[in-house]
Amino acid sequence: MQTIASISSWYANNETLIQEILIYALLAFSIQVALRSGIFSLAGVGFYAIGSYAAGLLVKEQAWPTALAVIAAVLLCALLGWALSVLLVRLRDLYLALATVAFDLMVGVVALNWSSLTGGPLGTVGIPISVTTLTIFITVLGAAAMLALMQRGTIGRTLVAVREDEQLARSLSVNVRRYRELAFVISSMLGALAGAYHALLFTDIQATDAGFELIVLALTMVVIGGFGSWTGALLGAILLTWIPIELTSIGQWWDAVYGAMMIVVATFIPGGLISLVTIAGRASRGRARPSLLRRGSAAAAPPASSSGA
Amino acid sequence: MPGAPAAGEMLQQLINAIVFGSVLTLFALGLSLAWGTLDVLNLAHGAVFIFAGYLTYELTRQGALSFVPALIVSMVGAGAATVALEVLAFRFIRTRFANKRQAELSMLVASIGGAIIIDQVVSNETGATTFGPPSSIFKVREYHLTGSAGITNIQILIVVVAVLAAVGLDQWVRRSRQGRAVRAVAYDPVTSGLLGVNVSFVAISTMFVAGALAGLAGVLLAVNLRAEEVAVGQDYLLTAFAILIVGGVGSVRGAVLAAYLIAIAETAVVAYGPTQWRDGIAFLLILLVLLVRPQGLFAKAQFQRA
Repeated sequence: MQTIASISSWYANNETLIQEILIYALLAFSIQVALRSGIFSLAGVGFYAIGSYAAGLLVKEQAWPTALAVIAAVLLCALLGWALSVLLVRLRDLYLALATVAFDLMVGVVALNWSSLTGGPLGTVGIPISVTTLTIFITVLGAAAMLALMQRGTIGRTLVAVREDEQLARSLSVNVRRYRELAFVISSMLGALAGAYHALLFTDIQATDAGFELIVLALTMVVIGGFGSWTGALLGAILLTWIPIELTSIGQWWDAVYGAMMIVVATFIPGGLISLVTIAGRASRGRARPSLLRRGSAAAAPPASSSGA
Repeated sequence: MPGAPAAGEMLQQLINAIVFGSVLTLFALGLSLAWGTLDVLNLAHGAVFIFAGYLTYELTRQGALSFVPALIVSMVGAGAATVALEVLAFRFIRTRFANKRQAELSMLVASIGGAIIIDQVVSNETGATTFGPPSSIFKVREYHLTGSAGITNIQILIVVVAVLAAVGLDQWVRRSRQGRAVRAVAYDPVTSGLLGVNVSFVAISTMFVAGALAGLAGVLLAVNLRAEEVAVGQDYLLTAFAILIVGGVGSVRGAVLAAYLIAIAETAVVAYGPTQWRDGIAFLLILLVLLVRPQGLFAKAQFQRA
């Protein structure tokens, strides 16, 4: 009984933190699913904004039931995400990144100026609290399960092929464009979910919410955690929401420590922090199953040369 | 003459736009140079820009240095901060990451880390408020033109310096031996390394020039406005993205044209148009140009880097 009481009091003290982590996890998933498919899109943040306005306004102004409003927001963003992916079909890498950043910030500018709908500089306030932490938790689980499935099997390997070598994938009769659109649409929907839940949980939306800071935060979460897998995005969301709170206790230089950690991880841990967990896990299992296919060419090189000699 | 005040007002707006465009040019040249040659989109560029303004403020507020020495020290400081990022992070990422896309991502995040550190230093030392060098270091004199319009000597200096820096950089990249090495590294770092180009030296000197240009812009802006704050760096960074895209990445002439174009458009919107849409101009331009002409409006040859 003691433990249950202490768990529930810990939960009560940290509920906001947990809610933020869950919402950021959805946003990080949104960026991760695109990056893993080789699409350097940060449009998830723009759809976070659109999703938050759509769900928030439908619940507040039209008194829609929560579930319906969230679904409508997500479907709207799926449609817009598909349209954006068609428009930006020619762009790759940093150019695509900048185009999607411009899209995100343009959404903010439009929101600021469309006062009759969004409240403009005053924001949209007084949205009734209409989701529970449990709902969001279940959504995160569902999204994680979907992303885990997308990393496996035919679809997972096809997405990797599309990422690593588009020409080759195309020559193997993979419809590259279709797969890129799929990843883009899923990314948009996850971004919309994050935004919708944020609006329905924290009751107000400002046009500046989804600004450059949020783009940078979402990207950082995914790269620091590791963009190769949804687990990396989740780890990034947890750490980058929680660490700043811990670091405030060390005084006014906490931001500099945070920046230094970002440089170190980005420079020296290519797979993100999740790769350390994976390596540690493999080491503790004593390399029971040395799989040549999994370890990639670099790790497989020494045995190959010894067998040749 | 009822038309005269309006004409004077328009002239004043044009002068403002040209001065703004000159600061933008200096800012964007460095960013364009780093991306065009080394594939580094340095998100710490805005922070370095503010850092240089802060250095000048720190060096001059007790009267320790006068304008020109403070400008030089601040430019070197800004260059050194950028080189520090190159030496501590970008260099390792470039050599260790085989996958170019992943290298770009990691450099982006590392440069965000650098920006956070620099911003923190500046805001801690200045108490997170606006700061600026004292007016005594540069005697501002205003010259009256027609009507209410006027131009100050610092504004003239900014325009002249921007034009000189742009011409100098253009000639350096096109004509000099070092500039040829920079272009060779931009085209193919591995082969140019094999042919005897010291790639890491080229990278360091390029990043130094990029940082020093941001520093030059930052100091001139600080002296002109005498009120700067950390948040301004990000505004310039976002506008510079639009300049790079419109002008074409790596193109000095394109960057100059785009900087003045955007400065005039933004000034016109603030002066005459729907003021709140000002930020939208840059973002809309990025989207439109990338949709229609991804190589930039002013780039001659298609320069596919993707």
